Amino acid sequence: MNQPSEMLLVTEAADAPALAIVSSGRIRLTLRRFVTNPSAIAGVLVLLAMILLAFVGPYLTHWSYSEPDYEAIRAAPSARHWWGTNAIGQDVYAQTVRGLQKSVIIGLLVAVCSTVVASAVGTAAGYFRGWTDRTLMFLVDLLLVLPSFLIISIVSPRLRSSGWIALVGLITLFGWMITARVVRSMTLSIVERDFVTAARFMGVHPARIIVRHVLPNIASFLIIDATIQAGAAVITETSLSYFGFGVQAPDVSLGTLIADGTGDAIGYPWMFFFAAGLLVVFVLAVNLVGDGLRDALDPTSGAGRPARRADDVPAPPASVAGSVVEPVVGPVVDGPAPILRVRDLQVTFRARRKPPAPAVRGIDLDLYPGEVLGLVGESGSGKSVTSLALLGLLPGNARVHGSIELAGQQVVGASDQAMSRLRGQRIGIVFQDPLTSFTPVYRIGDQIAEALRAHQDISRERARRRVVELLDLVGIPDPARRANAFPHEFSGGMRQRAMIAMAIANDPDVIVADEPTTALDVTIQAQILDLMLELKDRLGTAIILITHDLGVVAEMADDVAVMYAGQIVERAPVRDLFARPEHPYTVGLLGSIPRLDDKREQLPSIEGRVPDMTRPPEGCRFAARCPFVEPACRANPPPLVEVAPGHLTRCRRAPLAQVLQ
Amino acid sequence: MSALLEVAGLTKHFPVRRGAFGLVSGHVRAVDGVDFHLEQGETLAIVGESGCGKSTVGRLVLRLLEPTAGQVRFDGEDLLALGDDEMRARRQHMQVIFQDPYASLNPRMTVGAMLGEPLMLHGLARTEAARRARIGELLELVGLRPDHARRYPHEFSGGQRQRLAIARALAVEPRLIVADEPVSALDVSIQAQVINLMRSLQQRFGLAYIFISHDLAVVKHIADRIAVMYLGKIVETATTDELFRSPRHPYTRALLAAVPLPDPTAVRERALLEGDIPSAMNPPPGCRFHTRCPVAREACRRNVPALVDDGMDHATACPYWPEFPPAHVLTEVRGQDQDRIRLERLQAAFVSAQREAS
Amino acid sequence: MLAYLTKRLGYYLALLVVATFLSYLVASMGLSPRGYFESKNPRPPASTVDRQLREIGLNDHENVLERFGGWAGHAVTGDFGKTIDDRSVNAEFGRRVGVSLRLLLAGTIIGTAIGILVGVWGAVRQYRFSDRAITTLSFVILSMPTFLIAILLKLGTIKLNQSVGTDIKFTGEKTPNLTGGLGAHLGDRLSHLLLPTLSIALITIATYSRYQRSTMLDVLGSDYLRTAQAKGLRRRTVLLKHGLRTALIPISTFFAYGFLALFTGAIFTEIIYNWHGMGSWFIDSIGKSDVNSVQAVNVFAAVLVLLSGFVSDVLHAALDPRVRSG
Repeated sequence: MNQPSEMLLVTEAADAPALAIVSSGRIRLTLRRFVTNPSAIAGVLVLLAMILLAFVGPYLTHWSYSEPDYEAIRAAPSARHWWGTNAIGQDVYAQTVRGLQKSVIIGLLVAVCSTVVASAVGTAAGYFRGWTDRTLMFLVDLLLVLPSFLIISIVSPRLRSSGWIALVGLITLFGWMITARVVRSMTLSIVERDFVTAARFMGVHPARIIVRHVLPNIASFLIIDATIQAGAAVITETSLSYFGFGVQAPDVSLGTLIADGTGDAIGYPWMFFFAAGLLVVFVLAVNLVGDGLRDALDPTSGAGRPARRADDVPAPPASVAGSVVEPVVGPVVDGPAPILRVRDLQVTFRARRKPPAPAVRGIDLDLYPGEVLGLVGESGSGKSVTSLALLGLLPGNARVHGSIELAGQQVVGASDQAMSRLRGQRIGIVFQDPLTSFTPVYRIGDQIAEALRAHQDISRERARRRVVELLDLVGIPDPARRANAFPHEFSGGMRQRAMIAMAIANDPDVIVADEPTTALDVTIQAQILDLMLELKDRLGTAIILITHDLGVVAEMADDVAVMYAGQIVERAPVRDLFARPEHPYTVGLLGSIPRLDDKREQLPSIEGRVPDMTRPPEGCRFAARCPFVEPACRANPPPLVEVAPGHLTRCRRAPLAQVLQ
Repeated sequence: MSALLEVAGLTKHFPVRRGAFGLVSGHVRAVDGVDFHLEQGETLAIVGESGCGKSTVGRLVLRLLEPTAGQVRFDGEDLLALGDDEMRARRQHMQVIFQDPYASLNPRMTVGAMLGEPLMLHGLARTEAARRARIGELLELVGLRPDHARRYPHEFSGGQRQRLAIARALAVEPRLIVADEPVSALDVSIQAQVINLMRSLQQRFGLAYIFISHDLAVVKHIADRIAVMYLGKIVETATTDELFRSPRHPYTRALLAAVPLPDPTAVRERALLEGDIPSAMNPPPGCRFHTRCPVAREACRRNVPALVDDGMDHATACPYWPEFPPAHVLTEVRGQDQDRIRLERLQAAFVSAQREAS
Repeated sequence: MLAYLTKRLGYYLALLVVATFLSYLVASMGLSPRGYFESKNPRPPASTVDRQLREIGLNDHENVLERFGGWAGHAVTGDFGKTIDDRSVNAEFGRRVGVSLRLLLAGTIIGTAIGILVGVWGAVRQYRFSDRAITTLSFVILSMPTFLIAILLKLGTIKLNQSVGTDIKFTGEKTPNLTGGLGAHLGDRLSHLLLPTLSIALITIATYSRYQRSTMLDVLGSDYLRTAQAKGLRRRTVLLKHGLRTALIPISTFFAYGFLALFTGAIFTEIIYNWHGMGSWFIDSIGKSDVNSVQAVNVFAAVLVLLSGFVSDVLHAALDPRVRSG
């Protein structure tokens, strides 16, 4: 029925597994997560106790639930009547456990039936679509519109003869719709996925697809939902019975008992509070179990899906404040001062129930005004983490050590106030996915104006004019009109231009561009890269360009730093890096990328995988995949050494020419 | 000997529904009259940017989508004339590999079950033992181990999952595989592994590939012939060497020029295209590329250019190509200087390590 | 967007028609007005009963479809017929609706506003003590049926009145035959309003805070919040202006469901506190087999649900520009 709790919990339950799909092979992991959740365990234990009470309890006493004891009317709890008696001398304990039993049975039956019906209807609607979908959804909506409580109230008293079975049917009838809706939308998205397309393509029969491919992938949701349904059904039945529309006399349920006891609740509390208490405890336990299941099945941690966040603790937007602070000031260097200086940057992510994962280990960087530094690496190298650290935008579970000096100010450990002055004004950032990086509900022009007014004391009109200028500067046609558009109304290339406009709005010293063109088509990418170079020349901004694409680096960067497993393994001016790489990883990387200007029979590839960051190897992290490895390589971590002017490498066998002898 | 696959006039228009009653207000002309052919054992790459229709072509060939018009002949037989059951039988000869390694495998099925499904469906490997043997064989073919059959997809990396997808495609011994951006979602160093695998399988089994990609550099390493698409039409086809050596269509040239080369010393012409890719609902009149073409003329707005073959297997959909200056040769192998030799020798060490590993 | 909303409206109308018909069917077949008349003392002759039934359109010698036709014919002109005691349904309805509304309004508004804010607060302080406390409390409240919350509050107040000597009233909407000026009357009504408002507010807060917390958490992990921070906005601005505003979008869709639950809960609350609103009217009508009244309440409930669905659609379109142009 339509209790707020039910709808709420069902909608919540759909969120977690709907985000990503968990394999049943991780039962052990799920169980472990469940078992370490104290409220879930409490819920299970209480639930078991209640079920025991409901089914074994009646046999523990010789009193039956209807038999009156005329010698003890409204008697307080005693050895004779453990929980006292009611207004006509019936034993409250016997009545209550009998009522509990009834409520539990009804709850379980409704949960099972409702889940079955909802699954059948939801998957059918989601899979077959068209008229099947429309008809079924009309039915769902119709049942949602019909006032269920009212209808059951009318019908139920008439079904006296069929007893509580009919009641189960009625509650089920009005209880499956929301679940069916969720099942339908989950089915719709599963059916889009390639593995279902592959199965359909193979010619697998629709029924088999639903049973073998769709249902197992919504199983986690169904389990959670069934649990919640059980609780909701008990509440519904109790409410109905309280008003006389549920379980009918002489049968008892917790609802009828509460109704009977309400009048005497103050004077004879046992007549009311045992039944009420058991009801609340039971439903609470059921909900705790359901919640615990949802947490245990939560897939955002672990291998279930490439996680956005490093950890299953979602991050409030955090500044670096609140993380451990250990600024290390580096040596002073002669000559033009670097606009950004990073010394020994280390970032570790703390996780619940998992060992900490060091993402970045000891990075040193110097960035000079007007320079483009390319930061190259594959996934897991730590390059994105580095970029976020520079802006103090790491999640709350990140621990940052080291020193980041931006225009003379220390970023590590800075307060939110200090950081918000730096961000957008001294340092800007261009993110990879411009669609999700703009707030969907505000116009682009307003968002850029916001960036301006956060740091400059200018009027709205002036900010508006400046926004149009900026949009024009980045090559957006018809800028005055486009400034009023929403993010989703722009194409990918235009959005990225707008993103760049926002980043340069206050003429920052440094721009961090994190894979700015990866999501774009190659001809659009060329436009954006050109734009960035042009702006750099015009405004004198230094750029940190983070990418995995060596072609982009070759075109844009003056200096390149190659990252692997959280460390910089090589750094050199761009020509030196491409002509004479001095680290085996760079060599392998250069060799393995398909290039337009070269054709080889066999692309050399780097065997193996990036090491597990929670258990890093003793010595060189690349040792396991390196064709030039020696025993000494595995013993000690190699330091970064200079093998040529401005050319550093973290390989003890460098210069590599000697390896070839 | 007729070609394995012959496609003529393939067209797909998607209706767009707007308004209160879901009336059709327009069409997305995703694929508009596409012709090509594919021989046994050959790889044809279809390249283009987003919205060009290359993925749709792949699905049309397999009849995952029903074409609005056109012909698809497989082994001389018109696929579009077949009924459901016949089509299902033909599907044994053609398979598909998708882009997203995380979405293309059912997370709830073991690898063994997933590989067994097509075997059972097409009646290959009738006994349990035969099935298990075949599954083990398939896993080894793609560089994995037979005991991996017990595992679930999430226990594998992206590159390994893509190998599993390849194994699934191979299970029924197809003659044609349509690979839709099979390496785009993988890390760069892993892409090489998967491409190498696909090539060796092709040599071994004589497979034909339709390789759909936006990445010209990847395509260069696996394709025999390339078809370039723009906004639903093919604008140029040629052998790989020929296309890279002398691209003719202005779009092809712009595309090649736009790809950043991993060589800081390379000097390149930059015929940058202006503006965005137009919408496929309202493609420009005449030559669809004319709005962005750096050398467009008056006539381009009126005339729809046909794809014309020059007699040597190089077809272009632009009648003015002989007038363009030769494209700056950006695809020649660089000189053999000292640094180059040193680098090649170092990289050779990776190749031999690779061979030892497999 | 106009087309989209029109389409929705049409759909809702279709639902309303079918729902109205079905509920009339159930009411007619489930209740026995003849039985009510015949049970009076002294028992009236059959002809009288027949006449009375015919006058209010509940003649059971007629086919149910004909009866529905008769009822519907009047209903579309706004006349919902006569109650079983031969009074105007419309008049009774008018009286009752006001009572129910007065009961609901304060609690709903307060509850929604506080609920949303509490949810945001909980999300931002995730897993800290305040969040856990709120979550636990919400959880407990949501595990209790509405009527039980109402009863417990009532019992608690009785105890409070007894021990501390306060005089918080909770039976009915006002004290009958109260003397005194406007101030006294107002104070009296407020005193009676306290407990019902509290009941409704508690449940609403628990519901909305939980939901808002989870949508807020989703939003907190999003890219655009990161961008907003990267621009140099202060944390509070980021959370409220960019975070909350976007997190309100899913709430608009939840609103329709939430309202439905609220309506059901309100019926219980009304009855427990003896307010003579729609809820008690309904219960009484069932007891008296008053088909017309029951049907009126059913239709009202259905209209409310559909209305809330429609409002939810409008809100969603208003809050989310992506829906408008799509």
